[in-house]
Amino acid sequence: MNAQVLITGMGVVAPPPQSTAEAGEVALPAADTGGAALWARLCAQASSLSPSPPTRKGLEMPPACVFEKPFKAEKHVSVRAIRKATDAARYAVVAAQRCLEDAVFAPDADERLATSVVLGTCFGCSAYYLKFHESVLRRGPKGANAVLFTESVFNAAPGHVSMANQLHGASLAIAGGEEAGLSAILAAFDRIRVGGAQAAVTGGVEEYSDLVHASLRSEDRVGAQLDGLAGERSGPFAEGAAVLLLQEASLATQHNGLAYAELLGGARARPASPGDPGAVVRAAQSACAQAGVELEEIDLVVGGGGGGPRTQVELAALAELFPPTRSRTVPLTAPQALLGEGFAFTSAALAVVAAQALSRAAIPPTLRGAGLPTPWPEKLRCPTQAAEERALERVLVVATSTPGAAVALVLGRAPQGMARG
Amino acid sequence: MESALVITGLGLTTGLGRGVDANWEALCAGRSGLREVASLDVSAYPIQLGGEAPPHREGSEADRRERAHTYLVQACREALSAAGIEETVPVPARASLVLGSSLAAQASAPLFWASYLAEGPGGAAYEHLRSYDLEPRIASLCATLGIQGEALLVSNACAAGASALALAGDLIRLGRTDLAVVAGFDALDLHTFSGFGGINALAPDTIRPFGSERQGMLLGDGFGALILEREESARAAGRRPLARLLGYGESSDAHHLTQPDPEGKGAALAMRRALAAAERTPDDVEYINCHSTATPSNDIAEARAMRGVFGERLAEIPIGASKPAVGHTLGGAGAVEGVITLLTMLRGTLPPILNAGDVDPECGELDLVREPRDAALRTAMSNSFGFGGCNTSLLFGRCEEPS
Repeated sequence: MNAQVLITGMGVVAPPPQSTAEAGEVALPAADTGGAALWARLCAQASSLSPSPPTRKGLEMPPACVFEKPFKAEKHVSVRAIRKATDAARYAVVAAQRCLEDAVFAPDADERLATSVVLGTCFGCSAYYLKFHESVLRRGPKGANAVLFTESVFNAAPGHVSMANQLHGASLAIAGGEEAGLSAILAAFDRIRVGGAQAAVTGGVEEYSDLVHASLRSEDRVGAQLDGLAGERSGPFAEGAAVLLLQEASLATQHNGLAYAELLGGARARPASPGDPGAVVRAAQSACAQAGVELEEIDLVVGGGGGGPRTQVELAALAELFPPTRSRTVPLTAPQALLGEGFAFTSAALAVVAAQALSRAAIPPTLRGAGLPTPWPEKLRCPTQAAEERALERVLVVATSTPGAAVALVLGRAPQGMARG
Repeated sequence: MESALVITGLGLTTGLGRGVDANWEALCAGRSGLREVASLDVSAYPIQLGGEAPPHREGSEADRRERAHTYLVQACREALSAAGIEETVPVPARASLVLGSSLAAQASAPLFWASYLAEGPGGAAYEHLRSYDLEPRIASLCATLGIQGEALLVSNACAAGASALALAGDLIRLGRTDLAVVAGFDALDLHTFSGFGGINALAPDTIRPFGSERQGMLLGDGFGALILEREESARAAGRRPLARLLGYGESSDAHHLTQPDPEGKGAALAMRRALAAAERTPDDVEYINCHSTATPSNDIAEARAMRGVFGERLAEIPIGASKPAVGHTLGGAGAVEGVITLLTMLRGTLPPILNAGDVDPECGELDLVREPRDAALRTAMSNSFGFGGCNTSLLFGRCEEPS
């Protein structure tokens, strides 16, 4: 019970950056499949905002942070089972493989038995699901395509990750809203802490669907450009996968013995009413209490949404958590301002960024966009120009959903002698 | 030493009726909840049977969409009420909601497509796709039940209802919640009706667990709810523990997205994990409520899995199966069958399996419960397996009064 849990690997599949105009001297990998590449992207403020993939006739969709051309999973993995899988499963399998390689974790048979897969998603395999319905509605029972049906189950992505890596721990999809990726990481963390697993491949994944995009646009839930935290709405719809490998410390030491960070605590909370920042406050307080960390000890917050109402809620909560009486300001970095609104993908990416920040002793800048919202919390500052070098000990990660669900994680620096450079 | 996890309330709605008592009476009487489906237009389908919950009101398509939410709320409220938590006794402040569902009762995609096909992409009713995002539904349920603690929904196909109980167990054991309202649910839906029909998994008439003549499953509405908490805190609050959740185990076949490992290795692993977590041996298990979808490959794999865990003693363990009476309730199954397993233990009767014919020789010798039997169970297992290779096993135990 309450095992020490480390973040030992990470894998990211994100659409490639479209513009390197502001990249400066930062090298941007062409294939954006790792945590380092994500970090470079944030530092260079290079977004993947691009024209949406071709849509149905008569359905014009604005730009989004998506793969303009189909993602070639087979370039990265040779897994036959994903040939017919949805994009979500393909992103997840590649990100998971990259994550296991990054951790130099080649589990033996016993370790595979004890490794779980827990992935969050908001829209699951929506493209296949909606295609299946369209086919049935148009053609009746004869339109019930077996591949579209079986591959559109919500847990197809974790199922494929388990299969591709022969992992026999629990294989779960956590369904939720924008916070689902972070919620899945917390569920995986919990499972290891109670002794139900020794390791977990965990994170969040989303795929693009023109119809889901249209639905999100119809309720003004995603934007068409990257306006930053002061934007009236969240950023453009985004797709991809962000995955971490969590390992019990004793297992990590049997492998390469290096970690990006340690997971210290986490919690979820629901709001009393929509727009109530109390859920974020309670989740953060509870996560800190679990971690044995005072809010005063938090060196960095990763969260803040990507603009719009959720940013307002998170900032109101952060103002309460870090009141003017606090002795020092706390920096906030908001990766979603650049990555777009990728729901479970981008909320899981927050944890990737937090772990990177701890291991690199640096804070990535937040896309300036239209500037910062006002009023701005007195004890919060948001670097927007360049990465700041800064030794970090404790990082708070927060994510919220549109209805107000909050998830918070507290990460700490990796134990001495295990920290990745 | 950890205080035991106990169940203090149960709620149930299926094709057999609304409420725990209505379901139990029908199960023991050998009644089937499977009939011609009225709430969906399945007139074009060769198989039109399903376990449809009794209508709560006649109404429009919009009402039909809300029936799933209504049933879910009813099941949760029944469980809370059974635990003594009603309107005058509020839900504890640190209560959480853990849901398991395969589709989370998304019934609005057909409405979207109807508008799309009629009006084209420019005039389609995109608001019907908003139900794809499940978070607002979770939020609505939390608001209805007054829950401000943690909330999450696990979706691992037909094991989801059982996995929700496992995740709730994690939350309580870590001290992050005092009480969890746990529910597994799925409603009859055109998506699954056509999908399982499309893969030839639906039976033409009835479900025959492990039977030589089994032809697959039929689907059903299923809403099962349980209140899970620490025994110590339940007793301190004056809530009577009904039974213990002794252990839970989960695994992945990592074999195929829809086909089970032919030897049932993953399923056996989940059962062994539940036993290990409970510090029990296979010899302690006195009853198994099996998953049995009555599809050819699933039942053989499940029988092999059970035999791998229980050995020759499997032939002596009474085997129950709820799907012939209520249908396969998909993401609801783990919770629905968990509730039925608990009722079996609490009420001292093993309900009969409807249509239990000759056992397929490939499944080996099994003691299928064909007629109601009296039994004072101390330990019972409920198993759930699903697409994605998911396996979840729950082990329940009788709750002894404190000495």
